[in-house]
Amino acid sequence: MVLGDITPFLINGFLIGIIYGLMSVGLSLIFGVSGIVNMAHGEFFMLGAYISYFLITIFGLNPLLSCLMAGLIMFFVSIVIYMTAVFPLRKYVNWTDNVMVSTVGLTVLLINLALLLWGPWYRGMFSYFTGSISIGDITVSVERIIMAVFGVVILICFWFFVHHTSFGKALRAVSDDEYLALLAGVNAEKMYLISFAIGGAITAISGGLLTPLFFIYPTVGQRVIVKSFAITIIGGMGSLGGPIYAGIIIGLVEGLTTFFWEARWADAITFIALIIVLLIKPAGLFGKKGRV
Amino acid sequence: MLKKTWVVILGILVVISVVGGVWYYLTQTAPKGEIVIGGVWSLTGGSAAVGEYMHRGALLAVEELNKRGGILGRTIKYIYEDDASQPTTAALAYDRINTQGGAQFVIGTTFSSLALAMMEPASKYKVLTLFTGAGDVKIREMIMQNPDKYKYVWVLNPNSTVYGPLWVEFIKDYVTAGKIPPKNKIIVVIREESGWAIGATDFLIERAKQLLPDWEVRVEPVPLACEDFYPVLLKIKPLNPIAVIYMGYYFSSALALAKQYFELNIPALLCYQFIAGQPEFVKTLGVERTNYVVWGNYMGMPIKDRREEFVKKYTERFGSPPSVQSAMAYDEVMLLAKAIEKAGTLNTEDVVKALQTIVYEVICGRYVFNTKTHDVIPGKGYIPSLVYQFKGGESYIVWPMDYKEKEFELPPWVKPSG
Repeated sequence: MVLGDITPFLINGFLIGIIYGLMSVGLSLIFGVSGIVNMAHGEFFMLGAYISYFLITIFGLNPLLSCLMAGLIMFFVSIVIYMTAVFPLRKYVNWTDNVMVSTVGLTVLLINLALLLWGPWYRGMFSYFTGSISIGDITVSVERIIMAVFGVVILICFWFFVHHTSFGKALRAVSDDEYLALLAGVNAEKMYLISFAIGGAITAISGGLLTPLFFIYPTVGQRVIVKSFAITIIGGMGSLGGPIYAGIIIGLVEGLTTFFWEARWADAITFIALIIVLLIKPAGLFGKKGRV
Repeated sequence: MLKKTWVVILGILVVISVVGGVWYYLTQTAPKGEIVIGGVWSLTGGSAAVGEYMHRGALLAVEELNKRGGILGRTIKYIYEDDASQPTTAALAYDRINTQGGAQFVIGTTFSSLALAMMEPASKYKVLTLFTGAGDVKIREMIMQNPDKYKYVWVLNPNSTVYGPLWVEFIKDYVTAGKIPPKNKIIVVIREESGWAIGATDFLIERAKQLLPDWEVRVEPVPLACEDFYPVLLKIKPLNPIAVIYMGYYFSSALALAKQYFELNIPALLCYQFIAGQPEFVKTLGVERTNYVVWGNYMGMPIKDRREEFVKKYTERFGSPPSVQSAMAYDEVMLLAKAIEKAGTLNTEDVVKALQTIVYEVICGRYVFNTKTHDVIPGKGYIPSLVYQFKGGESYIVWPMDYKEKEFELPPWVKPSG
């Protein structure tokens, strides 16, 4: 085996891994701050993809700008969803369990709404950016590179927000210890709302970015959510950086599985990794004890 | 006081539910003089792209028959259920169409996995059930092992013993004709993990050993509904095969594969199963990206004037062209009607007997059933397998040679020298 043989798989795995990470970080953020398991995560992805698609096809927006707009729109949509499907349940003792069930209902509602509005037909942007870069025997799609770079930019902005803004510090404080944060004057309720909205926005951006790769249809979120959960748990549910690293690891593992073995085992490897992580380090590779 | 009020409200709700349920059940029972045909199709989910076409093909046939006076002087009431492209939902849909819909005959379905899920309820309800789009050999095996249990289950298409080998025969014929250069003598099959695809690939390999013994058939399995083919395509590219055959039926997978295939400049002939025959395939990918792509099916529309007539009336009715699956479902209803007319009765046993001896030519060919396997006889003069090639957004039959409409063209990116 020559390094040149395996390099395309590593590059492709890394690129797709960044997207996996972006896809999963929203789920982890919401759980990390508020303890909510958002079962409608896949549908936030789906809505982001559709919004991005329509912004491009109807308004002729630049594809990357449409992803950002989709994120912005879903930020506000997530606020509405929080106020209607989450906040009313806050008064109950096991409110996070109730919210999990509520988001299951939300999944069904959003899928059927999408079917009603847009039908079951596949829609897709064929290519944002055409062409590929070839260096020797290594060929990489320009589109994947740009998507991954944009994903990295979003993640850097997110990191900056979390670590260098007062809102971000407040989010981390609530995530670490809600009661201490309350004592310090942080409005936890507001942080729950903001984390839900930001989580929804980031997930929607990942939906827009993945549109060229996966065609859009109302149940596309169901394919995403299983992988997102696996990556989030491997990275550490509640960890803000964990899903990103886990996404990259999984992307690389999938590529290597295809190279050394067969593509059909790639998904199985992800779940084998999940089981191993749960057995050895239940909090996830980069997670904190106690949140799981 | 409050408790009493809640009891009263609950009681009213219970009464409304019971009355509503009984009313619903009564209104679903066909009035005398009607024949109820139930269709189970994938109208949502991963197979919706195909299911909707089939449903419309069946609907067109029903409307035509009703315009002509129905079957045996009775109007056809066509009801349908959505299986959501899931086997468990298909079985439930089948139950519903019988228990609530009162179907006297059932037609469907989109794919083999869905048909397999409906075999058990079909045997339970003893309703004549015609499947089309169900090529898995397992269906045939189940019927042969339990002929009494599955006596009411019939399949309007050949099975995958035909599906896989058609590609080998196509390649062999064009290698002999000098149109396909035997560079590298490698065929790659990207095979999804479904029973139908595994069976079809196995038969392809067997046929290749007979017709192309010095060729290599390399199989790359991918997960069901795979949409990221990059790793597999990266693996295939260095092999420089003459043809890459995608053995799968998810439409989203077919689209994703074509897109990624051309991004990576794989220098081989790209071959699909029937899924590429959906009009949305060209519409979504564009004319340029589909030029020279070939697709094959165990059934097609081999007779040009019948095809043109069907396309015209379907397009007039629904505002867009049909797919091959529309023709299959149309034939399904017409065949059922013919069998009922031949039997002269709606009695299931008599209609089954009529089906066993029927010889009926519709759009996809001449239907004659194999009474042991309950599927149709394939091949020339019966239901021929066809290979089409896309050019300029249209597809033309390029194989078998007897049905050829245009010459097969090797894609310009397939270089003759290995």
